[in-house]
Amino acid sequence: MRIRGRLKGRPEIAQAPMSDVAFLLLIFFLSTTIFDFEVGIPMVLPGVQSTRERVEREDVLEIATAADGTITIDGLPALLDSVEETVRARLNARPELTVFLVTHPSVPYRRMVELLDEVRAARARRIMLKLGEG
Amino acid sequence: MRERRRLPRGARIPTASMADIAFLLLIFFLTSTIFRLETGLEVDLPRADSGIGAARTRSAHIWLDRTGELAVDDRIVDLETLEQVLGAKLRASGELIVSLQIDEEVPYEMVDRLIGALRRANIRNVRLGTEEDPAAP
Repeated sequence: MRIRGRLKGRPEIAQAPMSDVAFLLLIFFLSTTIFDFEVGIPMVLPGVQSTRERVEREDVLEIATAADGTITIDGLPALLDSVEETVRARLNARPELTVFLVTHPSVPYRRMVELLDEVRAARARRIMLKLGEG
Repeated sequence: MRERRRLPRGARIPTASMADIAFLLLIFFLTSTIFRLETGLEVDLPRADSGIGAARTRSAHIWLDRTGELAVDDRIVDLETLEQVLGAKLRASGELIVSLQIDEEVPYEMVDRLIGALRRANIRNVRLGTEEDPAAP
């Protein structure tokens, strides 16, 4: 024979600890959340089958970094700080300017990014990365 | 003459809505939290001022450390298998942004080879991972 227990009064679900649990979970997620965000220089690479484009010699500015880290702009020695100004001046004269960044194979990547940063600061839009001759 | 307003007896701050707010915030953090599983390789990123912040969605990460070790997301690969791995990722996602986390001391020759492999894998959108320069204004 089954014995039925009688419920006393009105049954209720205790709601008070629910907010405590919610706050505990809230603190956990607040402290563990990482907003996935990163910083970088966006670039669009040319496709493998991209057509070759002809550019006039006057529309090209070649910035080369030698093995010892020295910079030349169109063959003339230059300082990193002067790159932005030079590119800006050339861009004013030739808005379709393409900047060639020629980097020696043994030069650290940091050096190329520094130059790229200067060229981007001058608002050059057509930039080509090229490996120099070792 | 100033009239004083009387406070009603037994004035209370309503606390019932507090739990609602807690739940709303909880749902927000539950949905926005990403537990990052991939650790990648240890790299010192170069500093740049022109870097642009972006969300990490729809992107694959490639690490290249100063010893020349290469990793895609959480997998160590070599340059030859990199093309296959990226090709498979590209087919799966349709559009892929590849974030390059390259150590600043890596010789440019290795970077050039990596970019060449990306081009062969038909990757167009690339982001060169940088760090914000703390000295910049």
